[in-house]
Amino acid sequence: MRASLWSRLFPYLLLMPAMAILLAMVVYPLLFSLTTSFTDYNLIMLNGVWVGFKNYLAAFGDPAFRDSAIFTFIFAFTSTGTQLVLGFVTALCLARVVYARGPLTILLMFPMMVTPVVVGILWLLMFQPDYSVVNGLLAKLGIAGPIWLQHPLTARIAVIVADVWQWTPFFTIILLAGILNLPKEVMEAGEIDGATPLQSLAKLAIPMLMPLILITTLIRLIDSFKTFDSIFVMTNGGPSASTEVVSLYIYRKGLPYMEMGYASALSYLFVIVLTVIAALLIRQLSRKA
Amino acid sequence: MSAPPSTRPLHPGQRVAVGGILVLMTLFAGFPLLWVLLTSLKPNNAILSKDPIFLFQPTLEHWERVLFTSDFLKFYLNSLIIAAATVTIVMVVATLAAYALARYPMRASKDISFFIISQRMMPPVAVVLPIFLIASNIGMLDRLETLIAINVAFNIPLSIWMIRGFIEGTSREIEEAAVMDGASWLGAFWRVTVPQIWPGLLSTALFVYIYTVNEFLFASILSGTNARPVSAAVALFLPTGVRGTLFGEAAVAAILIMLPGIIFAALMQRHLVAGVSLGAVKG
Repeated sequence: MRASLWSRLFPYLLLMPAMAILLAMVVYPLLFSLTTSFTDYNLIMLNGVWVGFKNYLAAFGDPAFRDSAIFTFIFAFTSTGTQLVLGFVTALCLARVVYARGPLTILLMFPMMVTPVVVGILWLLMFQPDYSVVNGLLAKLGIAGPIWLQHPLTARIAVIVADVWQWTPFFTIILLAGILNLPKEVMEAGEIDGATPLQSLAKLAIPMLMPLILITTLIRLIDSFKTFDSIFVMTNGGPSASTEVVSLYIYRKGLPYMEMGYASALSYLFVIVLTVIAALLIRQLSRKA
Repeated sequence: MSAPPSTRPLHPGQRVAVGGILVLMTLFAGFPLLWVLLTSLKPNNAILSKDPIFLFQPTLEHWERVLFTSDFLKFYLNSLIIAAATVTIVMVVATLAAYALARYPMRASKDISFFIISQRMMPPVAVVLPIFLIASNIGMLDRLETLIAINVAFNIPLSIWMIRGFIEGTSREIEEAAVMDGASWLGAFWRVTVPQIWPGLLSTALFVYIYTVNEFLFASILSGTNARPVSAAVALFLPTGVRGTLFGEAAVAAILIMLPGIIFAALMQRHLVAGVSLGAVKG
């Protein structure tokens, strides 16, 4: 009987170190900030007084939080959408390449391997106010470029361009693998039946690729909701908070201003929204798997 | 790779379109990288020129300044120490957990898997504030150990997920036969299963390494001058405030930081697609 008890406990024993680390480094801090979110903990009130749901109610009436949430949605959907379109088109083209597809794919993948902080630096360099290479190239086409990072709208475009640059390859390689694995017989049958390339793309390829497209898009969507590093480096949320995503707003409330109670409440709201999206994603993944 | 689904030859016009799109996308992907390389070699007056300059007298002054007169190499060493410790701990802990999940049918197995992967959906900013408070309360700010612990915690879920997949791809029977022959489970696992999943373990370790070296938020908040890793140190060269414009230096730092990732991409091309699609779940 001892042996069977041991063998039943054994897998849990193996799991224990991993679980202990996650409990200590993730779950405990989350519980800690849950408590903090119900207090007015800040630089002056170092222990904080219980204030109930005050911080949460304040969040709903906070225009800066609302604006950052709106921009986060705009950012996530615009950049993910652009990446999907560009990545899909690139994958379709790559699928028709016969020679040197491997090296070309690796070349196109480089942006994905660049450290996010460095992505910020790269594009800060590209969009420099006075001597921007982007504007230099636009000038060659006869277009006078704006001072990108100093106007709200163009700064928003700039941070989205940086994200599109980094993550388009993600769609490219995953969708390329999907396209190359499409059942040959079906595609050939379509051609024999006289389908034009556009028809076989719209009626055959895209429907068969749909699960893959959906999953890849959802994964990127979740990730882009959490974007912090590249925007922090490029604009630090400016000008006048126009590129301030939720992560950046929470960070600013929490650290420089030390409004820990309020920042904790904000991060809880953020976690709840992301968890809802993540739960949808996981359900999608397990249904398809 | 299998053949493209359509065997129909392209019209000349279509061929030009396909080629044109690929050239544009390659330029889009490659140009910023080329530009940062050029910037790192440019004298300051060429960096600050109003028109983009492609031909200039190259100089190593920015490289010299970053490598020899700043603390950059010390920060680089910090990153290497943090990454080496993180990779070692993560691989041991995650392999044990992955083995349990792959080989033993547990009632809680599904919940544990969900718990593990949900950790990865969480925005880092949600735990950075409490961890900052806890670390400062117990005097653990600006310590390498703190950053190692955080990176370990953040890389365990993805690693368990990947390694579990590799273990499930191997045969359980051979391992059991070895146990029958008197090997301990660890001996059987080590001698029978590990050799089969070795490439997978290696690519997992490389992913953990890259994610750890790239980590920025915790690195910049929890470290000061002592334990600062290189990802956070890059901010020192940013063209803000009183430090002025150090674009050449920033470019050098950027190249030194992204080099391992680029080399990794070139070396690991075969494993990359699978790894990246898994890695994305982690985010």
